Amino acid sequence: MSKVEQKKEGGMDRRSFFRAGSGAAVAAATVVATGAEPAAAAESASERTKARYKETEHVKTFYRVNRY
Amino acid sequence: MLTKRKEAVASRARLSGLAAGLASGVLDRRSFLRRSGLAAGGVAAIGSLSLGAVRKAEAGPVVAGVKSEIKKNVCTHCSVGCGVVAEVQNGVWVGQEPAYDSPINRGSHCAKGASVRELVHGDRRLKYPMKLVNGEWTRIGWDQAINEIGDKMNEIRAKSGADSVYWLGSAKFSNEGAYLFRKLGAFWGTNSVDHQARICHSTTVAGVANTWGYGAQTNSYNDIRNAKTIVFMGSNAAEAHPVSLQHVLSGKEINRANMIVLDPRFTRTAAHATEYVRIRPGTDIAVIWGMMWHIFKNGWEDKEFIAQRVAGMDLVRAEVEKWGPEETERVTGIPGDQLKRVAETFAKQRPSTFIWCMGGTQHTVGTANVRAYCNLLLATGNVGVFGGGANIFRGHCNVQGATDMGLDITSLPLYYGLVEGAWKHWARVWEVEYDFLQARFDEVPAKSGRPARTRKENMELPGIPSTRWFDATSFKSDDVDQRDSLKAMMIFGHGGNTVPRMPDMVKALEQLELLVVADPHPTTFSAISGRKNGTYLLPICTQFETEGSRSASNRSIQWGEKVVNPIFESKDDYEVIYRFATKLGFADKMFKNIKVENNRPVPEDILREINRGGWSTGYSGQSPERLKAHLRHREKFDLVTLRAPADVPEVGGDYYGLPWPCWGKPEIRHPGTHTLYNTNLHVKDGGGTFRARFGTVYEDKKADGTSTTYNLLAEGSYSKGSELTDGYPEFTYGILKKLGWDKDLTEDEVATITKIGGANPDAVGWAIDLSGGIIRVCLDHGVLPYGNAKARAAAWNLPDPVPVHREPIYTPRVDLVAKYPTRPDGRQFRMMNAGFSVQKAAIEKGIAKDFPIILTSGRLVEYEGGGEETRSNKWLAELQQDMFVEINTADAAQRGIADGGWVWVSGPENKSKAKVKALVTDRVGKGVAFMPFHFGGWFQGVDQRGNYPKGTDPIVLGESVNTVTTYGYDPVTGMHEGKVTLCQIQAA
Repeated sequence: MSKVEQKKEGGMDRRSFFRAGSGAAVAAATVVATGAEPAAAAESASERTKARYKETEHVKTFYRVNRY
Repeated sequence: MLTKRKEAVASRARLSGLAAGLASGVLDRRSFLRRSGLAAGGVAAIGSLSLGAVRKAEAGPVVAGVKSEIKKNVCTHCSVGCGVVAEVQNGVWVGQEPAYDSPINRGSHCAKGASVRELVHGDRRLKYPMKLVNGEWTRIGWDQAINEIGDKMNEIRAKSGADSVYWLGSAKFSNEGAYLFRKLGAFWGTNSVDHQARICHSTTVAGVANTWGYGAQTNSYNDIRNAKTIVFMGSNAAEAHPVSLQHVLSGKEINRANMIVLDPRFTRTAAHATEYVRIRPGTDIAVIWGMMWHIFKNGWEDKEFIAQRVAGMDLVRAEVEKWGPEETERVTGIPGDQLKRVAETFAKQRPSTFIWCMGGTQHTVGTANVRAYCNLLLATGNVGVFGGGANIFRGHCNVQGATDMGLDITSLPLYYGLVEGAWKHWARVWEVEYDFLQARFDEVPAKSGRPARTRKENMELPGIPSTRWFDATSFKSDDVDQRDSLKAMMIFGHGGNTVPRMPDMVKALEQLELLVVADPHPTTFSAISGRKNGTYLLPICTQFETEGSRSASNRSIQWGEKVVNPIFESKDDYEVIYRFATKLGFADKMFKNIKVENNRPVPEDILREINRGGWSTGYSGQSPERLKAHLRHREKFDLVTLRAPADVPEVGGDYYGLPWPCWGKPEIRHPGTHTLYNTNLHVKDGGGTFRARFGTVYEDKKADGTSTTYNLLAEGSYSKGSELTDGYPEFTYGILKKLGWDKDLTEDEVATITKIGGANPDAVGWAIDLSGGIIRVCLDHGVLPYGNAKARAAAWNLPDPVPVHREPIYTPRVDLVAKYPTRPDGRQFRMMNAGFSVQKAAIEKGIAKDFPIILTSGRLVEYEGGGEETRSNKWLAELQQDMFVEINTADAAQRGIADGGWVWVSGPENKSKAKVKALVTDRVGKGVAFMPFHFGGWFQGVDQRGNYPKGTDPIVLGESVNTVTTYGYDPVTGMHEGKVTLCQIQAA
């Protein structure tokens, strides 16, 4: 079963699921960084691997409390 | 298996149809969850929402307009102690925020910590008490369960004695739960009370305590940021203690620190190292002596430190001389020039810290390994300084605390031991008669030529280690040195797949008259055997569903708030222990000074009792009020020093979590001790010296009639501000008098000391002075109540006073066994340890030819311990769907084994075998295989999913590595050999 078929079936990939489903994933800063994007848009392979880093408030807080 | 998640295609190829049993198939995430029966819950519910609804739900399932409460707790997985911030609405845990305020994790979590909320959503949790009736799991109520179990225990006690019931506790208890469980064992009348420390760091505790006084990590995770050289040996912290790496990698980056990893396997930790050293499993002592050979040869040792603070280093030097580069390379496989470079770096680029884990401890020579590590630190003057020290990373979230609380077959709480003075101390704290406690113990008749034991002798004798309870069950009564063999196991929070020789364990399980498993999840114990009756499962809640304190690896004690009420019919440990004490008839005595509300002892009150008795280890100053203040002010504590600025209300000047020792009563406000044995600080600032635990002198008598006397007190070294500027013994009332310091005691303190001392008050020591006066006065004079001693390079009371290399029992290097044999057989912990005979038989049978591959074991980041809890967590289960074996590319090619294919791993005992997937990789060297130890639920190729009560089977099942691991026990602690055995691997 390919990734594309999977999305057709359920409408969500792993990343979107975490974003929508739970605060449990917030700790990983990169996941948080995508938090403002629409949930269910299908992604091409290149979109999926593009750089997603954004300096959100969460990320800035992480840097501050860890003295980076 | 360790797979690269980005490459979805590559990783899918390795997924198996685990939910469908043994049939192999390819499963993507969605099918995985659906076939695991998970899709009925969250996934399907969210998947069916319209896109608009999904967008609205972005912040999580938090309901708008409903009041949210924030609850702070601590991750219940590893010993790092990451803060957890839970958002609760209407009693439901709806969200989790990063714990930016915790100085330990500062907003980070690993996969386990990020998914802890699932523990209390718990669709795989044990929901109500159950019992096995003719092989069928049957729901029962709590009252019936406690009544039936209690009646059976009393029946066994009458017939076979108190020692026939084994109390296996847990590193998942809070400190208060662990303490109560130990107390329950004492009131029941047995010393067979144990927990996971037996199988992870019992050898560490014995090794370091026998070297310099206390059995714990000397520094902290945070303090590694100060190190210039960081050595990991037998530690894969990147997976076992993921958030600790945050501190390590920051230190490495900021200080340009050297990071050296010595391990048989190129681990994820090794991937970050500046130097990786591959060793042959089981040769740690040879490696350390090989390093010290270069250090002594080149004069890189710290001569002043050794002269002032170490006894017996000359004996170590004599042993080290045997380990020149040639012999070291012959035994360990490490090239000579590499080890010289590592030794030079460690000795010269200080401060250097040495980190070890179960790769070092889980051996027949575990205690000796630990003492070799300590000697390397002592020779280079790296103990008692910031950035240095023995940074022992412990395992479970409260394994340090549970050890401190005496869930240990050799000690009462807080390391008082089992001697008469210890029992009398705790009898005074508990306000029960010493004679009552003694009367609870068995008289042991003479058996097989061994003398009889009185009740008093029996109460002072260590119990049976958890690594061998099944031997104590299946051995004939005459072979177990107690009244009768084991008949009942009371297992609170301990997995059944954690100890080698599982085929032997299964046979013993079937012989037990009573098996009680009290746990949030039914563990391997409940599914693996063919038991039909006499088996009970009691649902216990997690630490997120109750309150209490837990001690992280660095000795910091953190209070956890209740996030939600216990789910389903589960109860917390406190209540269940109280109910058993009530049923067994001693609750009134046991809870004399502990408030009980609705059958539930109040945890704050339990901690106050611990404070009242815990002088020896400095567990006296951490009152519930102080710990809760630390929780409130978490963000005030410094990331590196762990200290709060002096002007902060409530916690100013404290180290985070009041790491023990936190001396004296809470009101004197000792700040705790960040770094043990640090003479650069005043004792009131957390300074210290090595503990004078072994007298003042030692006379080493040699076989030729001569003897050498060693001064065990420090010489010219003392902690900052000390009024005594040389070594001194531990304090008693008598010594205070000699110094004229007794006049500083208050009248009440003197009255208490006099009452305890009776006819001889001068002999009352600091650790049993319930007034805390001796400690208080010591602090005022700048001295340590426990004395100022030298560390012991040679521990004369242990089997090998100076560690010597000994080949593993099952070694591929049979050529080395004659020169480096394992220790002779001997009776330890009430049974025969026949390691020597087993090693000899293995050589005679040519086991190394038939089983040519070394098998070692370890952790994965996604799972923890026996793994039932984490394998029942869908977010984690998805990430590791299969049990596997890492096999070297050359070994795989030779056997026609393909990456991802099924193989049989067979072991040299019991014709044991395990069916797992092959991960073909050069992470392991040629001739070495690795298996993770978190799996269970398959046994020798058979899927046992149907044996769990319906709906409680973990999502992921797999073979346990301990099905094929083998015999071997450390003589000092009974630790099993979990890291070196032999196996054969064939394509299935």
